[in-house]
Amino acid sequence: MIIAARKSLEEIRNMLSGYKRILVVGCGTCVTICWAGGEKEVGILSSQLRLASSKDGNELSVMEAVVERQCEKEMVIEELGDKVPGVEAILSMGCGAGVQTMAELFEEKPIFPALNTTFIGMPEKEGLWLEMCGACGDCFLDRTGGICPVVRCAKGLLNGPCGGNLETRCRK
Amino acid sequence: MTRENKKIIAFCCAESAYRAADRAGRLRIRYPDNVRVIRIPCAGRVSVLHILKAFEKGAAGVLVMGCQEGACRHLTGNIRAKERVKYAKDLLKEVGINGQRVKMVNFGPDMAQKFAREIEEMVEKIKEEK
Ligand code: SF4
Ligand code: SF4
Repeated sequence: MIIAARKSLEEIRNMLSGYKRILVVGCGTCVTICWAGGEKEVGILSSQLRLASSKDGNELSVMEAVVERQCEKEMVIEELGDKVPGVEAILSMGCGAGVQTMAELFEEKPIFPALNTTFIGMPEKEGLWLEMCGACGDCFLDRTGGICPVVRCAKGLLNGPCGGNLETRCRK
Repeated sequence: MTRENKKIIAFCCAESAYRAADRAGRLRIRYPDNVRVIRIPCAGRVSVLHILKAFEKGAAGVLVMGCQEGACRHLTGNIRAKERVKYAKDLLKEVGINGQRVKMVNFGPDMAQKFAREIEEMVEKIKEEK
């Protein structure tokens, strides 16, 4: 799945400055699992945005929505079709694919990313995600014992003399 | 934000803090009247969003009151609450609200005095800031 992390509130607010009615859209799949852009995170970010703007004395109306998969046009249209006309800008809490899907669908509205998409990975334990694949387009896991050197070797070596690592250095 | 009323929301675990509040009432212990007690089945029920929403609606402070560590009826509810309060503090700081306005407190059901004291302390903290 896709792993992402939320941008700082300051960065998000800078992107949104000048807009009075926004829609925060989460994604119910990958970024829900990595706690970056699911329903809960949409609620938290929206609440933070409301608090911060009312503290500054600005009016900001924040609507919330979650699309099951933000990278699927049908799902986005079904969930957001009637919500988008009422807002000035959209803040996407999906990965980069989600942001671009929405940008394509709602050409007339500015779409801003609230997350930094970081890698393809898996949840190791609560709060820890490991990078597993660099989407190289030519998978050779059959020859590497099921371990991806593209991203799991610190140097990205495919023919490295890998004996693991010792005190942060490669072991010969 | 309407903070003039300076309300304090106290999320009280039914097993400990709520009983302590009850006891404070029965013993006629005085404490500030701007606290609103919300009875919850366990401190672990309180989510970060509950805390943020309280501030959104104009609360000046939030207390999450659960059992003593090791004594949670649901085993880890109070530990979860502690972590969530920590997280909420960071989120509030990002917004520009002092993280001290939210606090986790651990109670036994008989600690009526402590209940009153914690509320007084929170009221003082809020006054100092204004
Ligand atoms: S937009 Fe698609 S790929 Fe991105 S997090 Fe959501 S489901 Fe995953
Ligand atoms: S070799 Fe590694 S980066 Fe390439 S497709 Fe396979 S897992 Fe992904």
